[in-house]
Amino acid sequence: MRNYECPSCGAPIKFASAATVFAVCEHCRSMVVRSDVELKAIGTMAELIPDITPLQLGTTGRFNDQSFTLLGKLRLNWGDGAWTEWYAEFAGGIRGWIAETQGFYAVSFARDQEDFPRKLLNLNAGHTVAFSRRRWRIVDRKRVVVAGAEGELPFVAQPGAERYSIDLAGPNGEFGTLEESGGEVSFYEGAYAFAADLDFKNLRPVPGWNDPTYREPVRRATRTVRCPHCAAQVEVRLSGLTLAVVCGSCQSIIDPANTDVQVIQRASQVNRQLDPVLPLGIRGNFNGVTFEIVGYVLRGDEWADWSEYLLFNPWHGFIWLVTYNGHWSLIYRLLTPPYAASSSKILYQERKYALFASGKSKVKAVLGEFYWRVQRGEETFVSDYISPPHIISSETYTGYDEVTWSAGEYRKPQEIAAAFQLENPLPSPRGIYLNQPNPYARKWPVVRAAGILLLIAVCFLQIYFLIALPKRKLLSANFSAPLPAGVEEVSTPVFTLDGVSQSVHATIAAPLHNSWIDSEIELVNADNGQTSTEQLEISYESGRDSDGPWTEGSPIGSVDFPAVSPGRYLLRISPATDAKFGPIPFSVTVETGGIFWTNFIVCLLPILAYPLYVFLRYIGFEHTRWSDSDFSSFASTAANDDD
Amino acid sequence: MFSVFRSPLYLLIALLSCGYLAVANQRGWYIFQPFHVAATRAITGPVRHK
Repeated sequence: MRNYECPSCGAPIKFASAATVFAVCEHCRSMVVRSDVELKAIGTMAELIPDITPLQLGTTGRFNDQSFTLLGKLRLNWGDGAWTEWYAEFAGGIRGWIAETQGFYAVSFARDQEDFPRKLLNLNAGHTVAFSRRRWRIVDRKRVVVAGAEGELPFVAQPGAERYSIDLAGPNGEFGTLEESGGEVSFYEGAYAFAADLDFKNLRPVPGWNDPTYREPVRRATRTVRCPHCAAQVEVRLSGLTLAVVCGSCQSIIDPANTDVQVIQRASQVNRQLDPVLPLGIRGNFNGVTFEIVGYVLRGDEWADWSEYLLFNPWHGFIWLVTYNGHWSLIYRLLTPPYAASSSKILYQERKYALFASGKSKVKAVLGEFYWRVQRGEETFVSDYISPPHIISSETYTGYDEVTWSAGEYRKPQEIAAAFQLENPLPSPRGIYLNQPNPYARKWPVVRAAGILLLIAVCFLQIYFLIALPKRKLLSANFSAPLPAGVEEVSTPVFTLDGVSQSVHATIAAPLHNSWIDSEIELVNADNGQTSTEQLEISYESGRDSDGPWTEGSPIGSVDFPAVSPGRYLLRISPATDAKFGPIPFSVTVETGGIFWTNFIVCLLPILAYPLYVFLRYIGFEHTRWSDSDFSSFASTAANDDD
Repeated sequence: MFSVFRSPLYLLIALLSCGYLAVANQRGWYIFQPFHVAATRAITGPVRHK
């Protein structure tokens, strides 16, 4: 560390890094440049606007097991936004940069990259380019201007200095940025990170957030600005991050990012009538982290309007709550874009998402404050991919060369009410939402598996009895029809049934030819005379016509006597036939055993009914869900239904 | 898989079906026999004792 005296005010200026050449005097804000022996003042740096960030000069942290200290702060503006770059010196004197924007971070290091494809400088966001050992996707490109600086930096950060910046995202959370300034191109490579990944220490307290006894929302603004339209005082809670805040008095949208506060858009009637179901300023707990509602957007497309709440935590950044018809989704920013698995599917963390909707949405009204210069009428091209209860959305802002990805999960209104400790319940959901979990999605695979197992069990059972209980012949007797005059019936010899009750089958076979025999067959208990009667007609006809030979009927028929108790039995048969056929000999065969297939089929019904019911409910839910999609596999069915 | 036990009624009915099938096969029962007997009696009258 080397100590100097400020050439302007004489205050001590410390250079902690050997690599830095530029510093801002913290007393008089003189910009100084050091040479080997002396400091030279080159002007005065304007005061940076207050910032809600918990980071400060001297904050330490770790990245990939390398400790670092923040030594300098560079504030960069672009047309519709701003962010902070922290100069970090890592162990061993390695120079790195930590970009802080929208609640997340990008850590990067300068790389010698002479061979980057020059065409990259002209490609739009969304394109993919391979270099530096990986495929990079262009996520953002913009012209930026140095707004101010603090601490020490490895170059002269002259306010107003311009550069061109192209942000890149690798396939696994890698971050890259190409910076073009004065014809020179620099490449920085690193990774995206959340605060928890960087293990920050020596953070500064954040107004309204560090009180451990916090009970109620603490409405402490980090900055107050005067509305240029109505002159009312407007509190800015997220100063340094907020690029648009709605004046609570006149509802104009104003830009508080700079000292020169400007109106972005005048108020509208729609804005004045807004009545969000969740008020701004309340805090809720999600996954153990407290977030405060800082903004509200009413967004819509040509079919519907929905609400989006912007929530903030100083150490965890921004998340969104999106609600439509009583359905809620908790949305967070994706630092790693998903892969395109096909034209209508993406892959993220081994989960496949199907394209559900794609189209333009428009901001209709806003309340609170935002990290971009939101305006009514702002159009975004949104594509929603779903894998309920998960959702991933890509947003392309009209006019900006930037694609942002976000992911989320469906939440029940009861969960939202519990998170905010609301006294009154939130409205119940209506209809089926795009990422609403199918209540049968978990049940269906289980019931299907159980149904298949039970089906196999029943089949095995039936096969077992088919093998174990074959038909067994008890007797056979021969008779002739018609019976002689005065004889009404003939009887078989007595047969015995042992063991438990069993079925008895009587089969009559006759050499029929265009003739028939109609028999009344009685199973008679030889011991008590109790009978059971069945009717059996066998007929067999054949002939030839213009289509060729034909036959009808069968010369064999049988009747069944189920569940016959053990005992001695005989069959009494009363055959009848037309006398013109002459005497027809016929045989009677009595068998026992065998199984009734009707039992099997009827037993299958209750086993299959419930899986079928669950399947129909499951598929019905999906059908209803996808009926709102332009990319539905049910689309043709739905179209037919409409017809 | 075990979450199917959250549908005890389904399991009960399924097991009863399997049980019925086993007993019916063993004892020569015919599931529609009561209806068959009723229909037969309606046509032919009550069981005759000779």
